[in-house]
Amino acid sequence: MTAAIHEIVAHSAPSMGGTLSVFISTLPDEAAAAEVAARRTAQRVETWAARLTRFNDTSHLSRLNSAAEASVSIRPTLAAALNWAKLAERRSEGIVDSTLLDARLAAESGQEMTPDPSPDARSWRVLAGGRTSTVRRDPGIRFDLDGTAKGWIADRAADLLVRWPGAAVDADGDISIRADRGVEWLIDVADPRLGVDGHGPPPLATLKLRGGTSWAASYGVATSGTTVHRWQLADGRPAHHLIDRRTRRPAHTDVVQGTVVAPTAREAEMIAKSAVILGSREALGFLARSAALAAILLRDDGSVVSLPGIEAWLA
Amino acid sequence: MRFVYGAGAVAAMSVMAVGLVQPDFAATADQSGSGNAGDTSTVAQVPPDVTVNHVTQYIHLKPGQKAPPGATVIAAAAPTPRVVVTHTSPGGPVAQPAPRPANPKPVTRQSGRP
Repeated sequence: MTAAIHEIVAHSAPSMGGTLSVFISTLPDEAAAAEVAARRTAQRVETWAARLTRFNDTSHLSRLNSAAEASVSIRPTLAAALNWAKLAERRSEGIVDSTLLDARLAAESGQEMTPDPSPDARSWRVLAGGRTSTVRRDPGIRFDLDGTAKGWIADRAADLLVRWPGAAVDADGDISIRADRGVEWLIDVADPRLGVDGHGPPPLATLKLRGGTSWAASYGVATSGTTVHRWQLADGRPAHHLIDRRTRRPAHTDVVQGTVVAPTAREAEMIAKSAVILGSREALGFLARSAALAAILLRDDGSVVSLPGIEAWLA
Repeated sequence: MRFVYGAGAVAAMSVMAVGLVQPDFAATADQSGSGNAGDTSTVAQVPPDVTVNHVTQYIHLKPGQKAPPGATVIAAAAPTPRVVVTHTSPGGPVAQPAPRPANPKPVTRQSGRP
């Protein structure tokens, strides 16, 4: 009598400006089918990403942003992603705002944006239809889904793999995982600091995500921060891509990187981004109110802050 | 991975255990067989709480090693699979069950698109 041991089939491809990786836990005699499933999942991800990117003028998102009308018909993928963006805005207590495209572009070009005294006054919503939904928005609102879309895509892609004992979809750092029954998945948290001799430092931490005793358990892991998309303004001040909706400028924060474990990748991404924007003092209170299961914040003084009970999540 | 259940070894150890903890038991039986009524007191002197410890020995077979004659070969319980991944590279990472520490694993990081 020999118990079957699952093996992991993995497929990676350039995607969303980074790397998409699909991992499937499978019995050895189904490895070939798992490889096919992983490739098909990656293809679906590319399709969704192509609809939701702002870096392609023909994407569904770009067409919405370029439309002059206040009401614009959109297709189901964009409608679903925007519905999550609206929910993320509410769950992040307004910190995650998908309507800050102009503020972000201004920050990238070194322009000064005028602080928004009442960011909640700007309104938009998605009206559900059959195959076609409608976005209604105040004049001037343009959307940037960015990481909000990556977490959403990771979860949606993982949903395609429910027939397999376990699976993980790594959408360039935002990861949706269904851990097999009785199995531990280990996830490295990248350390953004420079290593020695051009090599990266060891992981900041290794997270341990356990499958249930009787069934698979689902998790999301995501990391946000200010050290990768970072540049210097003409006057020498540093800037980054995480915009504080209150100032419409790069957030002034002591958190250089935040990693969150949550029930889903999209929630983890939303919470991690909020924690970075808020700064460590406000973030700890927000994290305690949020759906975060675990969190690790790296501050600009090199210290690491985590939610209580982090030991249970570390390998 | 296989373990060998050593039946012969178990039998030998059982005998040794009986011999060690019940040295008077066989003598008592012999005396009973002699029909000596006075020996009942001897039987009563046998501690009532004597137990026999059956010792089971397992031998972990190495690759290519054969089990001794008469031994029963059983499969060990499968270890809990543990997915271990070390890094993700654009070239095509492959995650494997432990213990293969060189295999890649998901890495959560700040995303790549500027």
